[in-house]
Amino acid sequence: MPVPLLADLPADLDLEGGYTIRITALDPATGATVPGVKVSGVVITAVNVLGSAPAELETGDWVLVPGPE
Amino acid sequence: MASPDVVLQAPDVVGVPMTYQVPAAQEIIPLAITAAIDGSGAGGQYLPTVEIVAPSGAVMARCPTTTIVAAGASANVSWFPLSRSPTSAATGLTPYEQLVLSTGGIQLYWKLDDAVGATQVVDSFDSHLGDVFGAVTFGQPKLADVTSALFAGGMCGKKVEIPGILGTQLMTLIVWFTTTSVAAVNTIAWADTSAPSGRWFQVYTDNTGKLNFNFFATDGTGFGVATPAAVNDGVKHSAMLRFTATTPSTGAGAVASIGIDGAIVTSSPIAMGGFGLANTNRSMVIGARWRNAFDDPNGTAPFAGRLDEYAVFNSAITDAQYAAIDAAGRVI
Repeated sequence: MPVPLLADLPADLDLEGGYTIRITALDPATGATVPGVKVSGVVITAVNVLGSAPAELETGDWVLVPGPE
Repeated sequence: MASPDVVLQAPDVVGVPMTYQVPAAQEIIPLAITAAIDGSGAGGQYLPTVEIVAPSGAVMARCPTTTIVAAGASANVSWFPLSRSPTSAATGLTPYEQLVLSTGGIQLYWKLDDAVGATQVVDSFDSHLGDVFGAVTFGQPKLADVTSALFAGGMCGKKVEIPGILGTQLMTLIVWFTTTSVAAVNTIAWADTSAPSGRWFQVYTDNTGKLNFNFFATDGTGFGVATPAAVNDGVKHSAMLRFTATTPSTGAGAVASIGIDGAIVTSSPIAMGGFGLANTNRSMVIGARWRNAFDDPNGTAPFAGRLDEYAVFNSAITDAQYAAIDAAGRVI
């Protein structure tokens, strides 16, 4: 059974084009990436600051889905 | 006004790391990131982590969970912005800050809630602004309150005299930290006096992971106590370092104590030889050791890990007061 965990992000994290959000698993002793870990079901809910063309937020295999009204 | 929320959904399953790069000419503010972490094939224990990487490749922020996941175990993780420390509409202070500032004897309070890239750390009294030297990254997930700072070869503090902090010749220091260092001197805090080569106090973990609290009398004699167990386990801890005396000016009845995670773990009578605790400090830094102009400007014996809510009191706060502050720092 997966353990439910909460973690913090910096407040008002304003990310311009070229910045990357990387989801990973780090060794707590060395900070190195731990092999063999798989990530699935990643969803990023965000404010589109520029707002005019949200479809352009898609990159690679990522899918843009409608946000909450 | 920002547009409505957008939701970005990643491909099904990949190994780590999984990345999303904000397209050119776009700009987003994340409100939540969720992920299912399958650790059934993990090569060891791990911390699910979100990293923010600049176009240059530099890691600007690292946001791990505060709980280590065991090898083979899995986790469903949600990351949210640091909005879960409510501030008072009247004071603008979080409950933790209000508690620290209402505790008698508070003299200096570097909350380490400063903005990413800040060159100074703000003191709650605006009179002891600390300067930033070298690799210090603000905006990290809180250990106790709002945000913390990652130290990796840098330090914050004052290299000049901070007068009047310790006129009582009593002291308590409270700080939150997390580290896995096994360095001989992994410096959390370091302070000297205005006397030539004078020392005031030193706080660091050693090569066994134990937390050391060294302090000095006005004649320059040094004393020290240490925790009985290691604290370099990568888990967040609060620490309280306390010096008290029945006659502060002579050091009579002196007792040095260390508290970890809200409880006293070490308490030892100290024979001060007729001298009180050093005061009239010359400098105070956190995250590294800095003694004089001949030391590296960014300090030596640097701390590897995160620090939060560094508070110095010119009083011996009680065990109950420390327990309350520790509890306040554990509210999600």
